[in-house]
Amino acid sequence: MLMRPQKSLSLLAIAAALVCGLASAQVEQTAPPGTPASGTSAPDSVTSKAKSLLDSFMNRIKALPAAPASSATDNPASAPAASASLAAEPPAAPARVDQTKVMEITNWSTTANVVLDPECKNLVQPFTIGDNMASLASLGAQIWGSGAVEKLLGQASNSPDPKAVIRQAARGLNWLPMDLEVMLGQHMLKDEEYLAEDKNKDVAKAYKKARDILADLQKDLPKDVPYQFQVYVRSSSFGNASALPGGIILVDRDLFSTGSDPDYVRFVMAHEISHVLQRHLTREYQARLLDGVDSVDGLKKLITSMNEKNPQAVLQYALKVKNLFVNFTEDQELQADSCAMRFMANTYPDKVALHHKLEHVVQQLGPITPAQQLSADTNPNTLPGVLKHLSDGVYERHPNTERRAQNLRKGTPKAFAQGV
Amino acid sequence: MKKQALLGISTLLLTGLVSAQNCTLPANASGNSKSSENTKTLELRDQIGKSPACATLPGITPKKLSVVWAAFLNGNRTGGQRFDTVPPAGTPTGKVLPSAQGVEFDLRAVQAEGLSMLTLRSGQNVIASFSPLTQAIVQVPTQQLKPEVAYDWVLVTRSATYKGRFELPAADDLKDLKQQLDAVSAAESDPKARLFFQAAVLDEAEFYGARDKLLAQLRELTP
Repeated sequence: MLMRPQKSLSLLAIAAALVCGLASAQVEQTAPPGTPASGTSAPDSVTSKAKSLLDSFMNRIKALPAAPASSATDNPASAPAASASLAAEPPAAPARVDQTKVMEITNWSTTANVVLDPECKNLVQPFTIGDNMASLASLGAQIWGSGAVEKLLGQASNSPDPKAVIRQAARGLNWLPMDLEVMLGQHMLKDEEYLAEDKNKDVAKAYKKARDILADLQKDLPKDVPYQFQVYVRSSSFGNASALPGGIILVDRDLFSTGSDPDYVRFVMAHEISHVLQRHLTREYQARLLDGVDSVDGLKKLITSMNEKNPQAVLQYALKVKNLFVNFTEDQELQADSCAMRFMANTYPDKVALHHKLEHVVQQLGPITPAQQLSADTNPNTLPGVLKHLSDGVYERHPNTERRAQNLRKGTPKAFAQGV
Repeated sequence: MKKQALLGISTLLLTGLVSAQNCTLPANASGNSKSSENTKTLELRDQIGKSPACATLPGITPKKLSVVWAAFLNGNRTGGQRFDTVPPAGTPTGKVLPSAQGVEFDLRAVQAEGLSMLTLRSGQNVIASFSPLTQAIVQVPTQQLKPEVAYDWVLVTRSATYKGRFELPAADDLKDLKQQLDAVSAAESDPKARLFFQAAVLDEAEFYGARDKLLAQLRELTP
């Protein structure tokens, strides 16, 4: 199901306005004292920009009767009460995408990772224009109800900062259109190396096995999931796999060789499908637009302007920017593991069998060593190391075996209760 | 007499077939999203199309060469979200070509992480274990390994765990491969074109790790 171009454009316009309008406000909130502002606007103009942005945003929401079947009020579970606190616990979202899904935007944090649900309550993230519009409408009602507008206008209010409200909306919603996501995935695929299916019989067999598992996993998904999953077999033999936006899965060849554990392969592929269904990479791009561009830009300006004044301030700021991305990817990995557990729970409805299979998966993740347990927090972070990390664009880091194992063991009973 | 005539005909046919082989890389051979070609790589591309080494590779096609060309230009670039951290380039994967010392683990790329342990297994049997791991280059003697058996290794550093699987080829396959590599060497004197065609031989025989090593050398010669 692809979005109609006009609606996509309209949503993109909102998203672009959110991104552009908020970029100038970002450094003001994240930079340490002494950090040069990355934007050109003075604080007053930021406020006035935010006000005009909010006005425009609210006008769009008022003009939303055209989001009929997907209106937030159609879904009693997620309809916001006018006086509800913005920080209230979100109600349980519907489990299937064949109903409109309203994403509650209720967490207030300076990083983008808060929108992740570590338990994978929703196996498929909202993706339709109706879902996004309904979520926006829900947020709009909350903004009006909370008095955020009064605060923006300079009147006393205990509500959250409206700028944060809008930025959170841009983080929380999936505003990158589906067709763009598919295009992005196809574009990235051109840089990947994978085996031609007709190379030889063994490769053809590996493709067949991979497609069979993919088809089997897809049986458990709602019928209206818009992704047309494709699988490609890589030449490498590292027991690894990866996902690109739009439903492209790349799998290492050894996963399909003699002696490989079929449950482990199933788990690995379910993990990758989950990255796609959670729109992780797509949302990472969104988050980088919101959190990253101006933060990295702010860092560069800080380095340029400070010279020899305060190296510690630069290091602190650099670490903050780095951790923003590292934590983000680690949490995504844990969430994808949790989602994969739900797939496994569907395959093994028997609790004991499921527990046994997941333990087997955990054992194949690698050993937990004392050195590794210490490393995450005790390794010194030097400024050259952090800067190299940022300039290389290497934001990805996987949680260590201990964290993954803990997450899987803790989540097993919940996965069993939820299924797919 | 008849035998000689038949041999003559088959030689002619073979020569005809060989000379019909095409090693011209198509214009969009790299297939990647960015234009990674420069003057030097374009020169190499022309050289490949004219190389006498082309005749030594039976069954080679522009499509197969394009795959190797794309691997040369793209390097080990991977994107997306992976299940696990990607192991360093010097670790064995898939079918490996052992050196005289054995199967090599070149761990220099992750040495700064703090090497901790390397274990090699075949099924449940531990074949070799290095703990504490003090060397950045580890050789596992071939005497400890059997051909056509899958070996799983796990490398632990202070930051991450890396895994992989490799196997040694059968003796006959290794002999054939060496013959083909020698034939390329004899036919092509230019080091860059020679490296490319040898990489193509390794790609066809599915020695991807060895192929990537040659392509890395080729990249150094074609900056």
